[in-house]
Amino acid sequence: METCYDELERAWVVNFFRGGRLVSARLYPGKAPSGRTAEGKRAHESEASVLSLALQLKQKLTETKDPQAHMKLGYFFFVYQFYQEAEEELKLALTLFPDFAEALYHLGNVCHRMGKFNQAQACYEKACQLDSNYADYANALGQLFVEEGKLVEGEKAFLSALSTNPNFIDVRLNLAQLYLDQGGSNGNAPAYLEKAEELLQQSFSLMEPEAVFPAINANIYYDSLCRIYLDLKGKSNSRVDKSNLKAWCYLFNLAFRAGRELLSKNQVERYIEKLHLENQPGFADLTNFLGVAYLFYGSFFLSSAEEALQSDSGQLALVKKISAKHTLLLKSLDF
Amino acid sequence: MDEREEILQKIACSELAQDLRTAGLVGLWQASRKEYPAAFLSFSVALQIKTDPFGFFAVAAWTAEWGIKPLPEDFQKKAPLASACFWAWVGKPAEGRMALAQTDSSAGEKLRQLLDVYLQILEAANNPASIPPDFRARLEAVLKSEFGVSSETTRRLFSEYEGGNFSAVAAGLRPVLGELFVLPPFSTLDYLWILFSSGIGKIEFSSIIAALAELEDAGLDFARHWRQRQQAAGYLLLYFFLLRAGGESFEKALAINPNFSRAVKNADLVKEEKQELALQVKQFLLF
Repeated sequence: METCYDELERAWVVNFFRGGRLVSARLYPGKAPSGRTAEGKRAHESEASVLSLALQLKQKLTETKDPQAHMKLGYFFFVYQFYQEAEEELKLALTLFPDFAEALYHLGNVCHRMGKFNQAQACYEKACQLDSNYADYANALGQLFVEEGKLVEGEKAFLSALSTNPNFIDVRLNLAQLYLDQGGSNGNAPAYLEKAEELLQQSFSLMEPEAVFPAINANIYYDSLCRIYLDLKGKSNSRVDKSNLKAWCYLFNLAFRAGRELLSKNQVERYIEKLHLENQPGFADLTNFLGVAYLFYGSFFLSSAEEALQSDSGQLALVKKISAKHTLLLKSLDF
Repeated sequence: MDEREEILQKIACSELAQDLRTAGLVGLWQASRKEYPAAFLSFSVALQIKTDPFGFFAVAAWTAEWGIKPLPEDFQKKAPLASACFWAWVGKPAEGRMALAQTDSSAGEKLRQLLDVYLQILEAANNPASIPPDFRARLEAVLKSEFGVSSETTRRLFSEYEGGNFSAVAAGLRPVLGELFVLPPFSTLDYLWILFSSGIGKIEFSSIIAALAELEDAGLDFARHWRQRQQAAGYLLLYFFLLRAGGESFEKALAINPNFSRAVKNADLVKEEKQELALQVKQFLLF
């Protein structure tokens, strides 16, 4: 049986390709976008409006004592390459909660991108100490060491990441690259190349468990391994990168929590549409974000009901009561 | 018979039609099919929740089927104001006065004043001496309230009164009384609200949107108040649909990853709150 979720999913996706909007097109016919040609303009407007929203939120969150909120906004600014704003927000999160491993990790990423290697290393190392369950932290530290030419430290960090999460393909490939580099710079030293081959085989079987590992030409052993490595790296990079979308989701959820005045109904509709389109494979986190978005979207209809009942005090009081209860529910949701 | 008619037929014949909130809407559907006796009974059930306007709807159904035949006595006891209007409408001032005397003085003050004046005018048409000394002021207040302080109609009716033409004054006031007996159309939103409150059938998001659009297209001749309630009801249905969709999203996230703690928390929260929110939404009255 088709659920409410299913019906909405179908409606959003179908409407996107028709170049129309689900609710706006039906209720406000004059305001609907004119068709596919409007898509480019829409995308640009979306980016601009989302950045404007982020800056409004930054202003609004100044006094907030919620480290999670600052961390999530910082993550958004990082993804959108606003490093200074990202650094400010992440430092605010850490002022409120100094042992916040995730904030340290993101701050490490920001410092890394800004060329502040020492600070980045300190952040990653502290994040690893605070929370050893996340292989991303040790992986990021390993990459930083490799970039600085500290290969021994890099290897150690990658191995630590692998021990935390043996299925983390990116770590295996990073480590394979490190061994290939070491092998290449040491006259194709077999000890390194064999380690690289083993890691490439493991990565390959994780990515394509049914396929046969490519043949290696023993005469050009190093070159063969490099070709396989590049092929796997390409495939790994082409996997769904959700960081941009995750940044959007964080931003919208922070805005949901801050109150309805920051977002228009149209912005929320676009956000839901985007989530549905990106969530075709069915990710648990995106589906959770969708749930929150639907509940937030519902609050616009409660407002419309209130507006319709302005001169009907008895029924207006009932709708206000429902709105108050719904607002409490929204604030309790976890994203 | 299409699916909608079949569902409504089933509901009308089931115990669900005895639900006070559903009964009034079922009555409207029956009236739209000119099944006036059934509509009268349904409106009589709905009276228990709110006499105004279901009492007037019941009288409208009654007169559509039986004309000026007297209303059943138990109905008159339950809805004295609507009954008083009925007697006034059929030209029986004495019966109207008796019914009016049984009304609760706190309810329908404006209507009670109109009725009082109308019944007095009807009596005066037969017996001019029956007019009490303070009547002129009461008539003036009613005319100004209904037609405007210095409107042409107010001036004309007052002039007729001064000239002793009481039948003309009664004829002038009659359309105001008649408006009470106009049955609103049975809208798609009424149908969806019946489905929602009875829990029968499936409400689609697109149907609610279409019902709201239908409301936009409906003529402006019916009361603004009716349209506002209908719109609000449509928005509440959309809200509730999204509440359910939100809950289903969290369940779906859990189906993908049963250990996803955020989805566990959110799914539980919605489950806890949904029941109570549904009860609150069901309290909303379309009339």
